[in-house]
This record gives sequence, structure tokens and C-alpha cells, in this order.
Amino acid sequence: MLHRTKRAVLTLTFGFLAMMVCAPVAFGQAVVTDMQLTDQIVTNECNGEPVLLNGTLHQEMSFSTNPNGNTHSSFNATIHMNGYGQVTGVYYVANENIHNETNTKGVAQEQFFGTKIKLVSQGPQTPNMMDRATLHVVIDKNNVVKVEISKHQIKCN
Amino acid sequence: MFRSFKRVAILVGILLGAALALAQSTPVTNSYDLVVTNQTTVNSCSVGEPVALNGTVHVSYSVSADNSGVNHFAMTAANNLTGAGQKTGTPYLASDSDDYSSNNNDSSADLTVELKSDLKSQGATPGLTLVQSLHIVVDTTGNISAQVVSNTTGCGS
Repeated sequence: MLHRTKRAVLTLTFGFLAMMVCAPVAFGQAVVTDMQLTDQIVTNECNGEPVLLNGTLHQEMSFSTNPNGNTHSSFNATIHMNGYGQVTGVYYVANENIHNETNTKGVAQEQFFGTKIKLVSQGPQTPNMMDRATLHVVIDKNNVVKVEISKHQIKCN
Repeated sequence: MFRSFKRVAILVGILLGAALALAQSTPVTNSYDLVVTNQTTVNSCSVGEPVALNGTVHVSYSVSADNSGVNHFAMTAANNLTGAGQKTGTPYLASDSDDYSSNNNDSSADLTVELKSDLKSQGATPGLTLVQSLHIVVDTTGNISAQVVSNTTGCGS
């Protein structure tokens, strides 16, 4: 009788550990993505000038799922970007941090996070600009993550 | 007798299907006004003084479901704030908005997002970026609520 109970406890323990290995997202997983922004041209709505954008988007995500199947997701992004005015030759620099969190049923989700990236002018007399950007995150049912900036809209600051 | 019953059953089925399709395609909208009373942030960009914030953050959403059962939540947060520098007495103004979308098969939405706005100095001190972290919840009955988790500032580059 005691042997049977012991065996049952061992089986349950190994089963639980096996679940943790097979479903890492369910018990906490961090995902890091890095993306290059390369030669994206966006028209500055403030003065009609095309601005050439280059830079990097680094995103760190973590997930934890409770026994009810609800997933808490945390998204931290860092953007380093520069812009170059194609008419005026003005150079802009941007460094922004973004933090968002979601609570969803299951892991699969699609999120669009609106954010603002301040383009700081490196010229003496030229004003700063604001890039109203959208961070687009997709996590499919197989836990594959895709991150991109789906929209840039540059306006006067 | 049996034929009549069958016809009525089919008719009821068609009507129920039509009602369900209508319910899926008609977006539900709702909004919430979050009152900000003497919440403090710190202008760490120039003078390093605490700034007391007062005003409102208006949070609204619409939700619609597609044929595959995915709910599309579209949210907007817009603030209208005044600030008062606690050392210099400098007044500040902030009025801006951001959009967020969340698509998943959940009937509720639970997001923590950032609302970034220019905190414009009305005095001699330079302006800065106010980052309000907002926890927004749309429950299963369609009610929306929100609270400010934190108020931080950014200086750009």
C-alpha cells in the first residue's frame, strides 16, 4: 500500500516536471528580439520633408501562466534611432524606452501599442520632432513571437 | 403537426443565427474618465523638482468580434492635465493621446500601457515628456475602468 502511494507521488512529480519542460511558456519564459530599422523614409507632416530613419529595436518579453490558463505578458522595448532630413540635412537622434503589460487567456495575442519617439534635433536652430509610432507584437498559437514598428507618423513636437 | 414544428424550429434557428451575426459585427463602445488629483511626478530633466498633476485621463474603447471568435479591442487614452512645479511654481500643461489595440479570444481585456505626452512648461524651465503608466481593464460585461500606475518623466536624448 505504502509502495503504491510512493509510486503515485513519484509519477505525479515526474509528470509535473515533464510538463514544465514541455511547456516553458506556461511556467515562465523570456524572449528577446532585435530588429533593425533600415532606411525607412517617413514624411515629416510638420514641414513636408522626407526623413530617413535608421536604428535598432530591442525587445524583451516575459510570460507567466497561472493554473487557470491566464497569461501575464510583459513587454520592454528600447529604441535607438536617428533621422536625417532629406531636404534640410537636419540630423535627429532618438532614445526611448517602452513598457507594456497584458493579461490574456492563453498566450496567443496580437497587440498594437501606440507610443511616441522624440526626435531630438542636433541642429542649432531646428526644432525637435515627434514620431508617433505603433509597436506591433504578435504571439501565435505556437508561441512564435513577431515584433515590428508598424507605423511611423512624424509631426511637430 | 411535425412539419409545422420543424418549420418553426428552422425559422428560430435562422433568426438566432442572424442575431448572433449582428451581435458579432456591431461594435460595443464605452468610456471612463479617470480623475487625476495631486499626483506627483518629478522633472528630472532640468530643475529636479516635483510637479503636482491635476486633470483627467479619458479612456474609451470599442470591441468587435470576427467570424473566428477573435475579439478586437480598440482603445484610446487621452489626457488633459495641468502641472504645478513644487519648488519654482512653474505651471505645466499636457494634452495628448495614444491608441492601443488588443486582439485575442478573450471576452475581456486587461492592459497596462504607456500614455506619453509633452509636459509643456509655461515658464522658463524647458518642457519634458510625461509617461503615465495606465492599467486599463474591460470586463466581461463591457465596463471599462482605468487607474494610473505611475507618472514618470523622460528627457529624450
